[in-house]
Amino acid sequence: MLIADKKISMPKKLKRVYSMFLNDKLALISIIFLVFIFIVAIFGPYLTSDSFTKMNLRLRNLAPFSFEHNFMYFLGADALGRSMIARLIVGTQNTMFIAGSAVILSMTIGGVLGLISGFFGGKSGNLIMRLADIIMSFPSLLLAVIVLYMFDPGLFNLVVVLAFTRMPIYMRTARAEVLEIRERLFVSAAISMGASNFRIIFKHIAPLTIPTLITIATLDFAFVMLGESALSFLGVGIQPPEVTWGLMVAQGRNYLQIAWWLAFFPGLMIMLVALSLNLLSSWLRIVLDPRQRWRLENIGDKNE
Amino acid sequence: MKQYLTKRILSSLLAIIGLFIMVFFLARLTGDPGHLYLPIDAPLEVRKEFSEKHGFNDPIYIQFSRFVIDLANGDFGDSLRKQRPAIDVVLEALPVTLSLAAVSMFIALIGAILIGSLAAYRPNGVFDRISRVVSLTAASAPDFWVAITAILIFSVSLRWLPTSGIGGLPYWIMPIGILLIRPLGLLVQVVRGSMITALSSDYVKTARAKGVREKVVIFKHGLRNGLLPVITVAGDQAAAIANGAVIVETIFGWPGIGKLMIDSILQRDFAVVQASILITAIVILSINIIIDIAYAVLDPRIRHK
Repeated sequence: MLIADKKISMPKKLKRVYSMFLNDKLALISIIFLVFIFIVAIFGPYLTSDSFTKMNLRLRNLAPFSFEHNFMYFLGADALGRSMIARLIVGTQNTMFIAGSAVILSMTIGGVLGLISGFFGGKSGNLIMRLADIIMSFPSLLLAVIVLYMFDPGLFNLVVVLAFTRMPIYMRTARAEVLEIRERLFVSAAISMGASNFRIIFKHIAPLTIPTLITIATLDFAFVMLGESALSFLGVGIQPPEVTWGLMVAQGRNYLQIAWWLAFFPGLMIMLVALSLNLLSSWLRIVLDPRQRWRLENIGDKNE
Repeated sequence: MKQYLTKRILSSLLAIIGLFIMVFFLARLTGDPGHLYLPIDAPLEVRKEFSEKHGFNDPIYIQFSRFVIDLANGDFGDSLRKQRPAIDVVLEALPVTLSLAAVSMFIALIGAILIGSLAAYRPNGVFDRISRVVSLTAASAPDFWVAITAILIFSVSLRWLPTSGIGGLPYWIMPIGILLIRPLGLLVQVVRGSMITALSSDYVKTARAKGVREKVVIFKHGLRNGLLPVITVAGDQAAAIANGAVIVETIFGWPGIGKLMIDSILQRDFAVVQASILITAIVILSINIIIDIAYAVLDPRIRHK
């Protein structure tokens, strides 16, 4: 009976979400922009091939917005005459890859730790939460700088450090969710049927916490990206000749007076992606919160 | 209340101790601490002598107990760069960062309360929509990029403000303006959310039905209750603003604790790094405890628990 109900209501639900999307133009634009960035991040570097390292010394610090040279130079060129567009595209892939891996890593580890802490409670649970307190009580940027300075700044270390500093949010959220879910009837039922703790945590409880965790991850992606670019800007993030948007801003800073576009465009990209993620997550929060959902639905009723 | 505070202070102390143990062992994990303390080009003899003198050849538990005893005596070692006790160097830099952070946070808080309350007064109104996009943009802007763009506009092109350094009012405008952007953006969201909840609550409806003036309803009934979550978030921002201070101080050349830390890290002055980690952590945790007290003072429901 329940399953049948679900099948009938599913398309309706999708349709509702879809119409809620259309009602929030900003969220719509954001998702289109993010999909575009995602596609660029995956396929872009194949198209530009090696032109992001190709120097053309005659086009050094070429000013943007001119069609005199080929399209790749539309946004100008850097101090070594490398195309800004090609560098931005390769930077997209690196930036997205680092932020994406860090978010997935911190969501998985933080989520699991939070689940365990919430389910078992007691001393081990408290210990895990104290760990979260320690991480939270210290400026993440400084922590990352110290760690990256002790170990070598490289792709892997960068991802691990970023993931580590963002973990507490997932730990706290997952724990808070579990504390509530643990008391529900189906968990008691599972326990009384003799299911193992492992099975209860990961099969019964974990799936219910995922929507919340993903909403947080959307927003966190923006913060991780900002964190990565700050680290690259300070010189302890990704190292040249690899390139991320943050590193491009750092490199462009030296040419501020003669070539403003070197630092301006990559920074603009960081801001636009972070803004889209912020808009998307604020929309997600409204959609997932039944008390606020009417805001988006009411407008829809008027239009129909 | 007293019990709660004692518990909070104890757990904060625990957090500081944990952080410090972490730093101690992280520094040793990377191998020879001489790598961290000495300049990269230090000759082998100097390294050996250094290890001998500071006891880095001893077993780790002896090193650790010595480290703890020194700490208990307030001894963080000497700054290699300045040839002075590290703690003095850190305590000199601290007021610069604190004043920068305090002024920025104060302006951000006042601005957020004004903008957030106005936005919450008519949810989905024109002002609300504009403030939503602007505040989300502010929360998404990379501070280092805003800083150098601002330098480009106000210092290089218009020549209105100095590019860097410390001094009179003109030197404060850009650092403060940049440091407050992100907290302002986040706080506007929080104020808006909690004010919407507060203004749609029963006691506000009752106040309106009684015929209380709208101004009093918003600022006395609404704001007093709506501010509570804002205070907690403002406390969480203490660590975030320290992040911002690192960037802002580096770009504008302010001799604060953020710049000190980056410089000490890059110039391998590890005693100063350790001292500044501890001092920063103490400051942030104290701020959080003060905020807890403020919370209890403002909210009788917690005070009487």
